Amino acid sequence: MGSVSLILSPQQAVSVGGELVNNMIANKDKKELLYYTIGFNSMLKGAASKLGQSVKKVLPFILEDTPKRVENAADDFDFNTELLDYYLLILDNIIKNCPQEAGSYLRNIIDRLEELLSFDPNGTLAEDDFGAPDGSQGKFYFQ
Amino acid sequence: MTDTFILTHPELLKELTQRLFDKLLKRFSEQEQNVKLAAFSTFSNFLRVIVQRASNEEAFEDLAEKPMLIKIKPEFVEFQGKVVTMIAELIKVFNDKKASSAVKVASSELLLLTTINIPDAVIQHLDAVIKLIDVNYSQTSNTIELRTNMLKILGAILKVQVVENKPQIERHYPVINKLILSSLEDKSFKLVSEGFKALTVFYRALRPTLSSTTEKFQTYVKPVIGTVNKTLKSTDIDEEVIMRDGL
Repeated sequence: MGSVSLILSPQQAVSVGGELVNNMIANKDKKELLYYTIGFNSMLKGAASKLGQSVKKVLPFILEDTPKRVENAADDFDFNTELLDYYLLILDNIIKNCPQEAGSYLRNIIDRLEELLSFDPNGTLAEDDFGAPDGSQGKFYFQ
Repeated sequence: MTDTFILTHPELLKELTQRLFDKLLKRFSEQEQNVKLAAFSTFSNFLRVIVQRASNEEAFEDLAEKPMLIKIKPEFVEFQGKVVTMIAELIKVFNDKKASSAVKVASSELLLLTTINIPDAVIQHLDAVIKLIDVNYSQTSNTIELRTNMLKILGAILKVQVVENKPQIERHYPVINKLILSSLEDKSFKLVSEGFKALTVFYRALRPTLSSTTEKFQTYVKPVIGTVNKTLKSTDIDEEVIMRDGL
């Protein structure tokens, strides 16, 4: 998808990007969400400047879905953490490459970032200094 | 992603620091190596962004004075205390017996950057930092990269001494002298080269009160002369080391 995005015209990129985002939203409760998310991230890496409208649409979706994934990470740990990984990559690419579209969302992104920095999906924070993790996955250990 | 924010939105740095610094710092005790390394990288970028270099840097020919031309930006002075806390956490990383070689090397790079950019913060933990340098340099099973970084940190601390002449640094001269002498006799040309760099700065720090009759000369200079001659005569010595002959 990343390679293809390089040769797409701006109109085609907007169309494909929009389709991917629509599918992300339509499949938000299904496993397919991950595939569309990976696809959109690949497109962003190759053609971020052509995806303005899709970026504006995907940002609120990701910002709303992220806390839910964190909250329910343990329900389907591998799926949710992998999805969160891609959400972060998308946000990272948007901040780097789409400053105009990201502008009004920066504070919301920092809010999510703050939450995610307290998230310890692997339960690997040292026990000595920050309280003993209970060994379960997807918990906040310091708030 | 915090990295990206720091580099692309400096106007948000203050807010980011207030909200994220402590949370990020807690990741120093993270046992997942990649996460820990990412946290180090973010702090490195933070340290690069909160300082400024004096505009008249070129006017200073004396290299030893250059680090003192790096100053923390006025708007970030309040975060110096946070950097002091960061060093305390960084020292814990070195003391963690489970820390991998890669983590120790990355920690040493972060400590070196901090020493160059915000030396006052490092001086506040000087006893622990000198001990850390001594232990990690002297342990020959450590990688050459880590041991070299220890000498670089030592050199950066001595550069502070050249300009500010702090008694708390002078207190550590015996250990510093021992480490430098040891490096000059090492088999690795990288360590010998870095040792000569540190020695040059050490002598600059000693120079204001140094003459052939002083105790400092007898203690810190005289024993080095034989070692330096021996090292320079060594046939397989690296050219870079020979270039440092101008002591």
